[in-house]
Amino acid sequence: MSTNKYEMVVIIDAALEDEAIDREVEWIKSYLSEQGGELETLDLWGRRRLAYAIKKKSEGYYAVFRFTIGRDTLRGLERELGLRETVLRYMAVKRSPAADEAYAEAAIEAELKAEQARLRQEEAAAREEAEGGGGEQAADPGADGDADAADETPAAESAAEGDEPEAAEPESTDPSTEQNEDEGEAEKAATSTTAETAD
Amino acid sequence: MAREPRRRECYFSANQIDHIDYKNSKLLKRFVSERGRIIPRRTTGTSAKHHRALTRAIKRARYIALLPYVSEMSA
Repeated sequence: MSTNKYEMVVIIDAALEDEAIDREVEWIKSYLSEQGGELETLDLWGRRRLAYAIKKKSEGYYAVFRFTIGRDTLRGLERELGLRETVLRYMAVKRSPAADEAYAEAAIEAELKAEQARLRQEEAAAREEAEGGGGEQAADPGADGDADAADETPAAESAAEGDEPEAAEPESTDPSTEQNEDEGEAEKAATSTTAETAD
Repeated sequence: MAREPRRRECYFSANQIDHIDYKNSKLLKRFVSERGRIIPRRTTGTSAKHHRALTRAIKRARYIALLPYVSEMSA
């Protein structure tokens, strides 16, 4: 029996509860392991708008499985998925060595990015602690030496406040702007096509 | 008669992308018209080899609903 490397995208009905989606993913996982397949990676993209309606659904939960399995067993899995009403669509694709390379590179890059974000966050936290720590210290002895504490606290507090939003921003804004761009493009496409049809 | 947009260098050769991922919808969108059609290589300048890989990727992306087959909003 020949085994091959595959990558399979499964689109699950996003109208289901989170637990039901989880169960679906687990079901595929257990199928793979029971049938002698080996799951390498599993990427859950989450809910996503579909480019067109599938089975009258406009939203799907994307899960990407990368695994090794026999060809005939894969056919069996595809048959099972086709029978499941919760699965809107599935697509299994044979992985090329180049695809694996690109995936590995992307994984390393993502790790690097996460590492950098973590470092930045730590740095910001350390800075905040250094500055905010002065504020805390000043607040504590406030009970003993009132005059000194009153002088220090306002300055330390305002400095800490100024830092916070800066530290929180880079991570939280990135994905949202990306999404907005996407939507903007879609809208542009929509308006221009209507203009064409009007002609 | 309006001329086609200027032909560019092959994007994939220039950036040494040897595998075009069908899951990268953001990249694929650049090679698809507003109506969702694949832009001919005479206008994008994509090399023949990369254009073959690109069309395969776009067709896969369409199947998993990352890209539309037709993008036409009825008014």
